[in-house]
Amino acid sequence: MAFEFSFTPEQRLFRRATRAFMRTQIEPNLPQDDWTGHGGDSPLDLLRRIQAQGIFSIPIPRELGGAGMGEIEYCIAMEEVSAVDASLGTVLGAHTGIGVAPLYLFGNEEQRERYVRPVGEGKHLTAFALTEPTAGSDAASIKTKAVRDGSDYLLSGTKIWCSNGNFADTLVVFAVTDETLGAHGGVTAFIVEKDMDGFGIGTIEDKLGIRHSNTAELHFDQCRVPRENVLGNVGEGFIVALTALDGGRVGLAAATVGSTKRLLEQCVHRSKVRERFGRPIIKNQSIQWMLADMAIDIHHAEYAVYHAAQLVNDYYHKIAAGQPVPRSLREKVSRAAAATKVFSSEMAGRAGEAAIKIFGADGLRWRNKVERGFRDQVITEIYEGTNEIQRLIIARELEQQGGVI
Amino acid sequence: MALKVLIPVTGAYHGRLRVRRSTGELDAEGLERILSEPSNRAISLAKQLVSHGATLTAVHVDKGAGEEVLREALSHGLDQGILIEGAATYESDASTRAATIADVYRQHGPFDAVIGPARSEFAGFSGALAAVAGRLELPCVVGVRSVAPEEDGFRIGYTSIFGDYDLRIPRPCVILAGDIEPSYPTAWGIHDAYQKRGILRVQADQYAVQKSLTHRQRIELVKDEKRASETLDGATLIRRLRSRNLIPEAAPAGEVDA
Repeated sequence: MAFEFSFTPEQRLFRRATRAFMRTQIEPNLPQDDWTGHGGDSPLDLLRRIQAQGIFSIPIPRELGGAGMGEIEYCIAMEEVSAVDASLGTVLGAHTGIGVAPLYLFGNEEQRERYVRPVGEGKHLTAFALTEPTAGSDAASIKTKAVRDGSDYLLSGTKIWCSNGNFADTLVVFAVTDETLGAHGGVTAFIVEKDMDGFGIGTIEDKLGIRHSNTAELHFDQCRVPRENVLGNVGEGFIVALTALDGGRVGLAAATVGSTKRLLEQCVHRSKVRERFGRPIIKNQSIQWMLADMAIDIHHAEYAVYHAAQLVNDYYHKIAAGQPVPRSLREKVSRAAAATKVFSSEMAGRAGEAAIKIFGADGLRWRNKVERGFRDQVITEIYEGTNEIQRLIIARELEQQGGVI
Repeated sequence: MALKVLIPVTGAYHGRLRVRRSTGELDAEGLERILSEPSNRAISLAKQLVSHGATLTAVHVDKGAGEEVLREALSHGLDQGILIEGAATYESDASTRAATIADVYRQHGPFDAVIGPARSEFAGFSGALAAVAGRLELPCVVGVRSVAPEEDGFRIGYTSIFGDYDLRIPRPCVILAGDIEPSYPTAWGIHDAYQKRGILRVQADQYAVQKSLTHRQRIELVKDEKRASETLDGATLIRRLRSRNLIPEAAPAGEVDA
């Protein structure tokens, strides 16, 4: 039987349409300078236009107003959006990969109708709030508390590094409901609306890269959340978080593939027009090798991304349908997501360094595309689980499986 | 009264076109057929009538991979599609294509307007839709940028070298789209085009036109050595395609080449 690994006509059309839209309608209108305001402001007018194209509604079923597509199409969108601007890719990833995914996968019918449908119809944006000042990679150490008060919960604490946090309509927030039980059993996921009493926005971070993606500090001061806004079961918040992060990592990997493909296009063009010693620098073997290495990396990363995306697709279908998920599938998804995220983000790092060499001094010029891409890439090795944590996940698996993958 | 609009659409090759050095023929092997840009603009124009309750039907005379072209047309939010299959033998014959489209108009109509592309994939002005107007004895206008229903006709805006004009045209009529902002299909539209919308498939020989054409009327390719040697020059071909906006300009930094 054939090993089929190709995009469907529908997926090819979606890529072409998204690319054309992003490059003709969004790219020319992007702010030229990402170094203004408090850490750069997300261009909300452009985000609304992307939203109107259905790009923020991709994996939500048609019955809930969404585009009825899946993880493959989500990765295609991440590629094409990030090829134009990594910050916009981050907004899309924070919204779709980790914001909406848990709402749809773990939400009951009422919650899906109330919170997922407006996203499907292109009206709402979402965010995911897990990280805290004392709990980053060590997410199990979160301190934000949720205390029962009648039929409600009162949330108290601070979240940091929340992408989209200052403009999201709906946020998935993780809080400790039972300190004695630890991460597995003691953490619960809550759906928080932006207008709920006790919820406030703090500092918008001033960052090195992805400056068009807002990263907010969030304050919960006795924030009253109704009991029906518990997402999934009480005490199972960590499962919600880890499940969303698996899919999110694959989306991020797709984003780096998209931005690196674009970088390669720019590098090839640049090396064809930049002449030294009387000939284009692309005629020099040293440059050819850099370009070839970028292409080799992209080739591998692209296959890894779409293989992992297919696994996540199957995994999420089972969860959404309430079917039992075999442990083997869950482990396979986690390992594939971790491996793909590590490889793709580090590929983007290597490509960024090569691009600066190919562009010469121009590559270092403040606010040029290569320089901005170089700054934007750094975070990909850190967010949604640092690459060091991903390696731990893979190594733990290897230990358990006796090295057989 | 709900308006009904028929939109004849054409395909185009997507990707890098090559010319075979040995024969001078265009090498399109492995290239996707996609909706042509002039057809996209025609759809964009026709969509101006959606807010007035218009039903939009695309028709495509297939010359291979036609379903993909038609589904792409549907992804822009059109209501239905008609695919004329088995028509490859007269792909370059504008008169026969016009007769086929006119038959679709008669059999699936009545339509209030035929809105289509003014340009074909490789040539300049597409004569097929003007010929449709001729066969159906309908008024025809070229280069339209806006359209809205008005009493028993349409108010249309178009740009000529003498300036911008607003005109009234009675319905039914044939309208050829000018250079207006293209339409971009949404994720919802793409999903529905593949998963929800049905396509009506019709064999070309179900229409009377093929029988009515005599051998004298058929157009055939003439092998002209001089002409062939001229078209051997791939750069010239690419330049001509670019001058007609059929493939993108040479890529600036970071852009994808043709």
